[in-house]
Amino acid sequence: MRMDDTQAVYLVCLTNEGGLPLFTRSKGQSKALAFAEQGMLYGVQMFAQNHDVGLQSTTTEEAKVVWKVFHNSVTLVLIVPDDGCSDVHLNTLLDHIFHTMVMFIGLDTLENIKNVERLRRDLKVCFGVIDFLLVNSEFFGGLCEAVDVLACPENATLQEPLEAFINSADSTFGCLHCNGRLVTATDKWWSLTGQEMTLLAAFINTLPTGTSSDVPIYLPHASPKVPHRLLSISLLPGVIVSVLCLDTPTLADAQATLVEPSWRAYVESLRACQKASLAGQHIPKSLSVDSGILGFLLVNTNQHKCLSSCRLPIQEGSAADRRPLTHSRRRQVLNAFYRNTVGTLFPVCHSPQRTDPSGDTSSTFSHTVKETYMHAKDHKCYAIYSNPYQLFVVCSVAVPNYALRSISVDLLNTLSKDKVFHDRRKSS
Amino acid sequence: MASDQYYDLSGSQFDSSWFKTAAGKEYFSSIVRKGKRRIYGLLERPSLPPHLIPELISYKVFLSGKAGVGKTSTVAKLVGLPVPTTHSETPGIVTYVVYWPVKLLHSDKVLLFRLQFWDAGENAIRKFEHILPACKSGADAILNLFSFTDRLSFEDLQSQMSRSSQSGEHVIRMVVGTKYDLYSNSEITTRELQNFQEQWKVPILKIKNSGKPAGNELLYSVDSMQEVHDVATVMHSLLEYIWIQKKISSGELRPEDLITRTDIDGKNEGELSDELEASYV
Ligand SMILES: Nc1nc2c(ncn2[C@@H]2O[C@H](COP(=O)(O)OP(=O)(O)O)[C@@H](O)[C@H]2O)c(=O)[nH]1
Ligand SMILES: [Mg+2]
Repeated sequence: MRMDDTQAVYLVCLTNEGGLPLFTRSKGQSKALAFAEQGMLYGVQMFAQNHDVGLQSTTTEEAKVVWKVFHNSVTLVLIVPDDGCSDVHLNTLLDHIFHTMVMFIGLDTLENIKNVERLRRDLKVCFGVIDFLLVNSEFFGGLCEAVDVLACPENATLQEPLEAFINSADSTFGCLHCNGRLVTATDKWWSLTGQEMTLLAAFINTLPTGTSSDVPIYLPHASPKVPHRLLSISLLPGVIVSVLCLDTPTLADAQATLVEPSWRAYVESLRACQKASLAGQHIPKSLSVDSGILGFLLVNTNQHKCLSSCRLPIQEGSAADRRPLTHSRRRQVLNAFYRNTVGTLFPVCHSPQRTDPSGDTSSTFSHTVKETYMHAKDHKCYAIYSNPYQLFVVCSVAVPNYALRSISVDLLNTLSKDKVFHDRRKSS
Repeated sequence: MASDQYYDLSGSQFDSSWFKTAAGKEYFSSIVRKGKRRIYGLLERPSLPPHLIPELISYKVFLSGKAGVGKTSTVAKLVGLPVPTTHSETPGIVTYVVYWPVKLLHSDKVLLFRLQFWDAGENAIRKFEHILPACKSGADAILNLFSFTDRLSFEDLQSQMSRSSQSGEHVIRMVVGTKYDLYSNSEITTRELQNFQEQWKVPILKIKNSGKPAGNELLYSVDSMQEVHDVATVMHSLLEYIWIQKKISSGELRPEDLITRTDIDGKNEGELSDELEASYV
């Protein structure tokens, strides 16, 4: 695994017809791609198309280039350092990026490009979310197409004020996020696809701290052609309630008359939530987690939600304390372990289901793989697939091999049995 | 009120150096933490000791101007959030709140202002018709922005001013010139600005939102009020102007009584440009 954070990632968006550049983004200390380089990328793809070959990806000595055409109208090209992982994750990223474009400007505008100059201007609203998706952050939602959640004792308490608030706004779609992680949501919100919940969470997370907003949103799958208004109000810094609505209420009304009645009595719970998300463990302190576990990612592939932490505390004097892994290293390891496992050993779970050739490689084995592990110099990893759960664990090298499995199984039991990661939809 | 008259009354009502005094710091310490302004959610207020609770005055201020002139950056600077380094167009309406205490010059009275800025992306305004009315509805003032490095944004502003004067709408209006740190590349001359001000009788503020003033972090740790100092001039001009205009339109103040410092007719161009130079962040 050589995926290095500082290595360059480029994204180029072109019109499929004519190959006119719409925008480019880059990550890391990378220079912007020259116009000629963008043209060359397009040329290669055109050549393939004209010869009836659908180009999907190509690998050079250092980089991997992935192409994808959406609705015969927009071409996205992604250039990343080659780390030998399956293409499926790069295709998923491209799919997120296209649907981010849909979310802000609507499918109609993207399907029938009339005025390239105007489209370029319109697309500038997407940069915040696209840049967020290109960075390997402590959020795993984009990678596993499942919204990042926060598990804290307040989850249940905050359901009631949320329902009351969403009701008072004449809507059924609403949720509460805390520093980018979903805390609680209405049934209808949970009925959105994993991608929709993830992109909405990403957008809400890019809003400046403490602000409120009223933004036209095209739900990429539920309503790609008709916009709704997404009202998001910061109750406390980082703690944001969001509601999807039509013409009413106005943002001013929601701020002035709807917030106080529903939320005033819950300020302490909201504060507790805020504190829990800043601590970075994302699970209640009361849960006992083996001290050898440094980080984990748990995905519920049914409900399209995931719970993760790369900041589990290291017990002083414990074996793990001797050569502790930095938080960012844990995140890297977890990210790479996921990408190496899903799409090869474990099945990919797209939300919504996709039928496009997304690079999903069918399992290398004829049987279903249930568990896998990996050792490295500074860490060990273990993964369990127990439908609908996929669990990925990063452990200290101090954990003996024979114990890896049992502490991972224990963690899965703790997290899946405890109400913290329970199905919060009333209907199921 | 006679809206065609413009009185430059800045500095005549608010004590502009009070925030540097011990008494002022007592108030500011409640809105500053670790050298940065505190950010408040909708359920929060600055908490002041009971004996200090001042009168709260809320204003809604709408920012208007071409995409990319620096509306979002200006608000971020004024409320104490990180200024965006790349341009991502605002996809709808975003509102920001900032609190700012002020002491009156001629009395001991302290006012706590709650300023709510309404920032909307120019493209969103054009595409979705509910956005502009929502921003303008109930607005106490409009800030019209142009950028010193974008001539077109200044010309846009001219035409917008004449359109709104034709429509006869009465609104408190100020002009903000952004990217003043790039003044050497300015596409607008001082003469043009003076003509503009004479024609439209509006105050013009100049602002530098550039992200990284050298050695800032260090300054913050030495002087915990540095961030407040950075924006104090603009905040005072903004708040004082709106406050005075409101008092005038409600009849509580007569402009003639307020002119203590400068005689408006006798003011020559040299003084005017000094005035302008003084009003940047
Ligand atoms: N140098 C400099 N750059 C600025 C200033 N204000 C804004 N910018 C930059 O101008 C670009 C557009 O700013 P933004 O606030 O997003 O514009 P908006 O579309 O009007 O909201 C951003 O890249 C900012 O960093 C300024 O005062 N000085
Ligand atoms: Mg903006």
